[in-house]
Amino acid sequence: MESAKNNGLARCHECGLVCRFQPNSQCPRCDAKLHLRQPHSIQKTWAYLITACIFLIPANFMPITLLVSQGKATPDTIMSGVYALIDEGSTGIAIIVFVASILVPLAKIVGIMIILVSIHFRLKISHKLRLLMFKFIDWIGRWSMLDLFVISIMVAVIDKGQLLVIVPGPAATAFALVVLLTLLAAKNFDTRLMWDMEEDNDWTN
Amino acid sequence: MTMTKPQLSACSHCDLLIAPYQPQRPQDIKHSAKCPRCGSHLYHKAQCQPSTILALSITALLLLIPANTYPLLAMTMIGTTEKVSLIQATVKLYQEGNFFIALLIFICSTLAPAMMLLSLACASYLSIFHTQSPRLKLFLKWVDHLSHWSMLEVYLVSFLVALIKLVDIADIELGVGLICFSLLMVTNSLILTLFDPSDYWDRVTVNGIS
Ligand SMILES: [Zn+2]
Ligand SMILES: [Zn+2]
Repeated sequence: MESAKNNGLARCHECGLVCRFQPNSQCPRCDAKLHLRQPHSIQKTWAYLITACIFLIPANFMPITLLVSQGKATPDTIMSGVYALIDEGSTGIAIIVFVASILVPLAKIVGIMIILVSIHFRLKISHKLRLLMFKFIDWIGRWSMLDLFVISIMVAVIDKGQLLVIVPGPAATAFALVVLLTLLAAKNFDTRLMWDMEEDNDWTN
Repeated sequence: MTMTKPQLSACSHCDLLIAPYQPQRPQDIKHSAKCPRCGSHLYHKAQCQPSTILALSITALLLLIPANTYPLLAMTMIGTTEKVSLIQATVKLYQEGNFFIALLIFICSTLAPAMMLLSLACASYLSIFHTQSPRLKLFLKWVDHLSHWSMLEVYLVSFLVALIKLVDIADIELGVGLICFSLLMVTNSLILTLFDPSDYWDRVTVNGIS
């Protein structure tokens, strides 16, 4: 009974002002439309996650960069790029790229899905732990942009016309979509839903 | 009409209602507080005035120009030297037909940081001189939305990764752009630590409620 929602109050998502909630009312301070919770949060989050999952396949299995040297193209997937780095002896960089491009997007999708499933089935998982997990996922998500930034720098620098060029492959676009979709998924997820369930349980008991 | 009555607040992560905090003595004022239910950060009382934020964001905006246009590095390979600035790297992707990637990179590395700093500078200026202005609300909303898409720190680390990949195959010389970009990132992080949106929102004049 201690949440703002259960007291008929809404916290404005733009400015944080707590005010009495009426359907279709506006925040008196910043004029934003008031919602008790983000509308359709769970449905939207699922939609973004499922779409991200689909794009994850081409992102990982198609070439992300093509090294074109004297008319001959050498494709590189994310994983083969990581292997190449290990072979060159830059294990540290290989780990960074692996974490940012493979582990983070995957962990983000799986992690948010676990949270959504646990809300749906009302699983008894520590709320604090779940929130901590979500915050970590949300924070680390932006780091998956790393590989795209690296590609943009490499493409710009290595441009020797006929001799040697790097061009982004089809996986680069797919990967960019995965990054964008997972960022949107995290942005649309309303963490307050995790506590609502707990309070609703108290209420039914 | 300004709000003088202490406001009830709610945790943004778990919606727990938080009673207004009214310290009896000035030395009791806490500078930060955590939600008792979920442990989230509730507020940190601004350690600095909007004028400081204004000065810092103007500094960052000035750094942003050379950080984007001056070369980050010069690379000598097979006899020719290639100088690349941040904006050139994005434009190149665009020219090669990768519109979507180029756009995403442009937003995260240039547009969002620039617009965020500009909005913050405007919001700081208005919260000092024109708290009545309806634009203040707009700028504050933009700051919040844009800060999610501003990824300067990720770009800097990416640059280092690219650098390590390149040193083996070519002669690298670091450019002025990199120094400006690093300074920009440091200033930007400093701004994000010092800036407290709730402090700005409290300055917004509200009509019709108390
Ligand atoms: Zn509001
Ligand atoms: Zn909380």
